Amino acid sequence: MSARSADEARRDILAILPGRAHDLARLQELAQDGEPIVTVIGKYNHGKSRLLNELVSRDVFVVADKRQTTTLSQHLSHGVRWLDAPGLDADVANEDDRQALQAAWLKSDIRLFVHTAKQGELDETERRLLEELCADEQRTRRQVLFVLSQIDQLADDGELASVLQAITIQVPHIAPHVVSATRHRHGVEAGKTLLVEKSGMPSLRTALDEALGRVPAARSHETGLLFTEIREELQQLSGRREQELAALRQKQRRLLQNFKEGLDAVFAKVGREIEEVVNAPIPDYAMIPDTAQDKYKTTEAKLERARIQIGYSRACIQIDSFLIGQGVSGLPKEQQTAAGSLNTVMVAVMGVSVKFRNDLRHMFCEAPGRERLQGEFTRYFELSEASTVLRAKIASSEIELKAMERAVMALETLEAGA
Amino acid sequence: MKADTNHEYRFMSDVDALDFFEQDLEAILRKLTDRFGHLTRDLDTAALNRDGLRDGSTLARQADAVNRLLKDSIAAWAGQWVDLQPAQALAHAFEDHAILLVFGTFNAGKSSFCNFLAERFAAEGKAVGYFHLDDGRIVDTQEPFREGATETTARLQGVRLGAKLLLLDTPGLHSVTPDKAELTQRFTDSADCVLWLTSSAAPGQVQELEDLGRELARAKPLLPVVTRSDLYEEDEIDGALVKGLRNKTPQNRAQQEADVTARAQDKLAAMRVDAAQLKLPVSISVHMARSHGQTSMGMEEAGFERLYAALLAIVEPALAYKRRKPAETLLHHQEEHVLGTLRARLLPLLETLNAEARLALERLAQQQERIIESVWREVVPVLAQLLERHADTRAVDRVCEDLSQSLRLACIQAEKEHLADYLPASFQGPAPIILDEGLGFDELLVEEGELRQVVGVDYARLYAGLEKQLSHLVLERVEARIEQCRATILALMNAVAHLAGIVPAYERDLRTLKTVLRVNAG
Repeated sequence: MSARSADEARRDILAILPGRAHDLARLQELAQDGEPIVTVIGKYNHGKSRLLNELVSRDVFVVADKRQTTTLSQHLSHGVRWLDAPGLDADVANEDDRQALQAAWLKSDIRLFVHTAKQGELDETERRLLEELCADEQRTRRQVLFVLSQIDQLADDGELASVLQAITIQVPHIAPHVVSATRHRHGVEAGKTLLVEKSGMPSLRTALDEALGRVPAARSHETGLLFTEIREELQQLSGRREQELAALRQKQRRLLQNFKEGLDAVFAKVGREIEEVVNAPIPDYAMIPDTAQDKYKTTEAKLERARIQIGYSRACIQIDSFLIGQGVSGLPKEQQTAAGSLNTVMVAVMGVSVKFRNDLRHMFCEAPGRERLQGEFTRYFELSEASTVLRAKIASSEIELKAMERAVMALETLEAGA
Repeated sequence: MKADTNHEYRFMSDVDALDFFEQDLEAILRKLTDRFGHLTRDLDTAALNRDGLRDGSTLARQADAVNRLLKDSIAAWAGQWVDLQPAQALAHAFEDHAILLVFGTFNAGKSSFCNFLAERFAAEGKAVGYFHLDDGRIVDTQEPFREGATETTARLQGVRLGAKLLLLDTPGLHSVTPDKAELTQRFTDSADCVLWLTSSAAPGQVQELEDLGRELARAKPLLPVVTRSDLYEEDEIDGALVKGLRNKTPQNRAQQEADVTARAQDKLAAMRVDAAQLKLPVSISVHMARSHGQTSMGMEEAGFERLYAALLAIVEPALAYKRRKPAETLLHHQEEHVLGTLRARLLPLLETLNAEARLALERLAQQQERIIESVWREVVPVLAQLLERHADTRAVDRVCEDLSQSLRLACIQAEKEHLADYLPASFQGPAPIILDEGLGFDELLVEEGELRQVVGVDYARLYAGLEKQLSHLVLERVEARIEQCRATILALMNAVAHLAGIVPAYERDLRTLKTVLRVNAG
């Protein structure tokens, strides 16, 4: 997998799960499958750099009795990448802390949590951080080694015992490695075995080597864990979205169906009423112009026109009120500005021309005419605001679902490359 | 260095010769008290009225939260002032002593520091008396303070040094057990000066710097001390581990002091506290001074001559602070507890409430349209049905009556649905439908000479007329209803603005009083 396609894949997933940014970055680290990374973390001046120097047997990290390490520095040695994070709680703006924590969480396979024995027990921020690291170890199998450093700065074994006792009460589930880097250096340089032995460094080194041996298994566990978690979250999310979309589509279908059924009923009723008018057993006098010569016929024609007028006007009112009830058109504001009583949709569909008997028959009593009108009204229903809003909702829901499908595929791509 | 010329000797004799005189604080105390009384009255009358809003609505809940906070805060302030009484009683009990509070994290070596100064005073033949506080009572004891590599001090204890100096040793801060820190915080205001101790192992951690900033913000004289400025050196000799303690080197100490100063300045800038008040830190090692038999040379190398020089310099500011202390205590209470609550809790609540109110206002336009649409869609089909039903009888009055009823119900229903956050309308309406002159069912007639024949009843005109009237009534009704909601929110926003305005006014007055206190009395 190219770096670019991996970047794209991560972007696709992030677009859906912004909360997984850290996990994706971590997966990126894991995918590189570089040397195991050991990070020291703890308060400033607790002897982290000195400890690292002893572990790599070289003075590569700067040591001073004040806040020293302010950026993340690293060193590759014996197939292990060693990271020296800036000390916690020194930087007022917390930039150091951010870097240190980033190193602890993102970069490392093994975290050495360092606390100086000279400070006695842990303070609240240290205890909380150590608890968090241990909880993370449970989840990801990234290992945590607790190092009680600078034990050479205690007066005697009695003092060490009381510090250990206090710490055991604070964090009972993780035993500290009791270490003095200074003592170790001294012992090694002067060839003094007791100093080396009492420095705790050899046993820390052993524990660290064992931990390093477990890194490959831990990495594959963590990789699997993160992929599984992300996949499950994606599935859950897209499952929910699919349900929402299905509900929206169902609502759309239901509304359309209601409209059509309602319209059918209106047209059935109107059709029956118009039928009575147009099938009246008299000639269609409305087509005959009034003439002074034929008074009787004139009257018949007037009667006929009146009946058609009433029938048609009632039909229009029924359709119009139905359309308003369905929200297709004719809100009060439009109503007040519109010229007549019938709203614009009615005018658009029915036209303004005078209707005669045959017109009414075609419009309301014969299937093609009826279907044309109903089709037109249905088209306006689909143009109505409510339908438009619903359609837009469905469209954006579909787009989101597509993005989720892309994210699922992106995850597969990443997983295949891992 | 001769004993009578060193800083320690001078400090001990200066302190014994201290002269305490009182300062008349009555006027400033009264002003502070009056201003607080004024504030509580203002707050009491400024409780938010949320009439017109339904109980469970967001705005109502937020307004209730504000009112609850006001009520609870006024009670809490009284309680917090009562909590400060033991500190004031202690200050009063030692009004003829300069009270130095030793303050720091749980592992800064506070007890060792106090014990050691007591040893020094005793060595000079001064009276030394230990005591601790037990439920506010001062209990004298022969025992020096307990010292240890881990947290030891759980109560407030003190030691009188000579006739006029008192060291207060406080339980450590930032340990895993927070209740002790709270005890310390409550007593810090009894002191005239703070010795801020930080361990050389990791001096000046962020949380410690926050404490330092707060004490300086209180205009309290404060001396930073880097304790435990020593280290063990060890060797293996004849198969055994041999250890020796030595002072950290002067360069090492200078580095640490400069680092602490630099970071303290950053912190003070971030907290907007005047960094000019910050004194330079002094590094000491009690352990080294002790183990070198407390010789002049040993004392000096362990940093104590520098410490005593710094203490000599801080005596005058401490006395000045002592003279205005009762007013400072009241001022701190008002600044931190009262103004602190108002700023940290009340103002954010008001801001949230205001933002929510603005959203509610913006929503009203849309709600208005929704209600109109909903009512309209409900009643126009009813109109058509009524016309059809009553066409035969031409019972136009029944049409109007039934339509009025439908309209009223539709309005109530739609408003309930779309204005769920508001109580129902407080007015009647919409107005009943009254037919326009000349409007009614139209009979279509065909006349033939004398003969008039009714062909049928047409109601197109009536439908149009009633629809027009209906639309007029709906708009009128819903607009009035929305206007009422808008008025409800605007009234609430006004009340919020008024309440929010109380805080800066109080803050301004406190600042003025503070300047008066510190400049005139300083």
